[in-house]
Amino acid sequence: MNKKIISKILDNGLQIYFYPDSTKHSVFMDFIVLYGAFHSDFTVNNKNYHMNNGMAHLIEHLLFEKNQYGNFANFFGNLGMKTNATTSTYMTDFFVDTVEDAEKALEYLIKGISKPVFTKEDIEEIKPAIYQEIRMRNDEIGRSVYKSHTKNMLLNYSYIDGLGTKKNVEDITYEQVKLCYDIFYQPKNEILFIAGNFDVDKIFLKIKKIYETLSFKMSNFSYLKIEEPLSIKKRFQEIVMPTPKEYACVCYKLDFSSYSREQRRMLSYYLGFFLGENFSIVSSLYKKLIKEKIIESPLSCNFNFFEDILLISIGGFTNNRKILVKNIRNVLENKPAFNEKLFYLDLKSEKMKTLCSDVSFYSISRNLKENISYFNSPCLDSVEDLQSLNFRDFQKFIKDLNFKEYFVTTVTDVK
Amino acid sequence: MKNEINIYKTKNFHKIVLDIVFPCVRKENYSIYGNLLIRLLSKKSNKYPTEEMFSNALIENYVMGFSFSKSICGENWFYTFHVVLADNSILKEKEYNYEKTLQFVFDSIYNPFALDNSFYASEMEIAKKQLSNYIESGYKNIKHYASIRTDEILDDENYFFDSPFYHKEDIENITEQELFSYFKEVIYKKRPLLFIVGNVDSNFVNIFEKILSKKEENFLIPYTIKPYPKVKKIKTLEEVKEYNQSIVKFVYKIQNFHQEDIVKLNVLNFILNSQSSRVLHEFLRIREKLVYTAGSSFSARYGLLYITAQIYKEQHLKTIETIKDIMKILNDKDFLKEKLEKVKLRKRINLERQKDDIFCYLEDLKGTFFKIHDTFVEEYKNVKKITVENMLAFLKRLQLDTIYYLEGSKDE
Repeated sequence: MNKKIISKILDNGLQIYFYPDSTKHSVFMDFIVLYGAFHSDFTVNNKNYHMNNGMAHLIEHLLFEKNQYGNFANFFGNLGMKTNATTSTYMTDFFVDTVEDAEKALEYLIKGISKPVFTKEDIEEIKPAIYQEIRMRNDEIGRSVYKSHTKNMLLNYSYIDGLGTKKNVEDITYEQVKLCYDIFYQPKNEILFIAGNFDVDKIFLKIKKIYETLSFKMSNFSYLKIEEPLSIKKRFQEIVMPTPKEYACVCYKLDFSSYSREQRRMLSYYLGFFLGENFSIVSSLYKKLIKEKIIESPLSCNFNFFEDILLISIGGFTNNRKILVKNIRNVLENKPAFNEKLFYLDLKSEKMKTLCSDVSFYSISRNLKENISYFNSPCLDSVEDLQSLNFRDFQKFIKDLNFKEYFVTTVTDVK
Repeated sequence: MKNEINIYKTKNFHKIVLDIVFPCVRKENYSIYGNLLIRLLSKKSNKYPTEEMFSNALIENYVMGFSFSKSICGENWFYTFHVVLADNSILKEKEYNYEKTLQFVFDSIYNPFALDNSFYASEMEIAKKQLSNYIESGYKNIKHYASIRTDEILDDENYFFDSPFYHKEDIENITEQELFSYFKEVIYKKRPLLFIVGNVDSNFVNIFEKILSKKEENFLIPYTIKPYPKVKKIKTLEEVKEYNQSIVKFVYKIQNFHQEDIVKLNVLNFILNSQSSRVLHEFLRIREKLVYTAGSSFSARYGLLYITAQIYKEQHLKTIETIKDIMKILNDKDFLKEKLEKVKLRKRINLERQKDDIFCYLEDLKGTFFKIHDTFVEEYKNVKKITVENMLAFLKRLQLDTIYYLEGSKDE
């Protein structure tokens, strides 16, 4: 991305980010609420609350399917517009993508979410689809491994994944939903991102006018800060489900409390380079594991932030899970030598992709959302970021990472 | 071949996309060869014999993407190298030279990592294992497994003869020399068909001519549709596997399917599936609460319509009845008229949206060259002309061929 965003803020606290692009033929608008799957514990009026896993996701379904216009998918679909909603770790968002009538679409989107009409019956009506979504995700290896890691490594956080279990969702009541909606769905906790072919001033005026017709129950809340230890209790879990080969994944728990949010954003570039150099198909580990017939296909790497905790996971399909795990641990815990030439080539590649990738508005929005939710940085990744990275800082950062607490999940085929 | 180089020049994007297509005739004996080539080409070359060296060479030559795939087009296989280049009018790198980059690209294609007319035995072994694993993973993934089994049942004419899932046993028998001979026949000796979208000028054509002048022309069997004969009786299969969810799949074959029917099949799929009308979603999820997701797809070549619903096992009979009801409801003139209008609106709007997607331009170039489909603009014109009566007559020719039910046996 090589354009800057324009930011404005309304008196009611709503943050708005514009990304105008007159070369495009559509307008993309994303209504983002800073309330996500992770936010189970919060305080309002000096009272602490704990909600089930899956609450934010249920509210997303509810607002999407049971708003004053009916179901957004049908409503916007009838107008020829694209729409969807997602719940992630720290936020929920509802987007519309349109070629025509952007101002109208914006009004429907804002009013549909901000003027709720859901009833107790509506909540029970939407639950079966969520149960089915849970079943669907439980058939995915990646998802099952992710849940094993969050469940076993985040000891004091009740977060496991965005959907929750069927029981979690069954137990959610209308009163709880109403409470969470009233607390979190207010302008000071919301963001609007608008990208595409539109007039910034005109749209900004429109947004102001829309909000003049809306009223909100403002409340002061805070998310409960829960101390999470660095240690973990168990080391291993086996999952049995259909799989073509045994799958093994090592996940490390690291402390990131000494880094500011902005620092974490820059460090995530270094993490990406480090994982690529040491575990992708260009790495010497990959060559070794292929030669020794431990693996036959590439490994996958991920990292996720949960407050001050970073979970890094590396895994793959394997012929010998013990040796795979041992090798991954060896690389991370003993820190191999770094290759300066490779580092600068990686940077060159990132620069090329940042300038030349023609990313969709959806991807741009996702980049902004991640930077806000994980790093408190309302900006887009840019070439300027890359120019501030250097090999010396990269080495120091990686060497400072303490790969000690780890957990192994394996997936074995059904007999 | 005439018009081997097909270019759509546009300055609206920051990259250049290039599909390098080597067509060859589908032959059952060689069904699995292309699937092995996928695993051997595009990650190394003779000049850059490790993944690391090749990956670095891609970056140094400003290649943002380089991959290889096999697809089917009528009676041909298409072996396609998908290349994405940075646009130097955006990047502005002094040492970036398109001719040098394209030389690198074609050198990587024509000189893969091999020696003495053979792929390396060690590389071949890995490719075979990866292919076997891919096939095995198809049988373990619920959606993929359901598709494989449905195709097995519906394909009574053996049109899918070259599916890798039917040729797992052949993998071991292929030698690295045989595979390399095949590579030489279908790729090495041949001049490919080129499809390029981006900010390119006529110099690109000169570069291609220079690089490819000594290669042989390619041969392509013209694309035609291949419908199934009349359905004799409905085939059903039910089975149980250890999954959390269950799947119901319906397959319809269109009787007396013609080229002119493709646009109606496309429209029917839109009516069932797209956000503008979402008939499947409306009935299966909103009204009956049977699914989280249901969808449809089609084969324009074979005249097939697929409907898939992912459900909870207790509801499978109700789901089957609901899908049958949906197909009856489509015959209601007023209902169909409303949905048809929505599709036309959606198609018009999509035309605008497609202008922002470089891969839509690429798809347009290829689709019209191979005569698989009209341009998107032409397609919209044809959709606009369709009447309710046309669609009602078309729906009468849908014959239910297959019902497949896969029960997930895992308890809550």
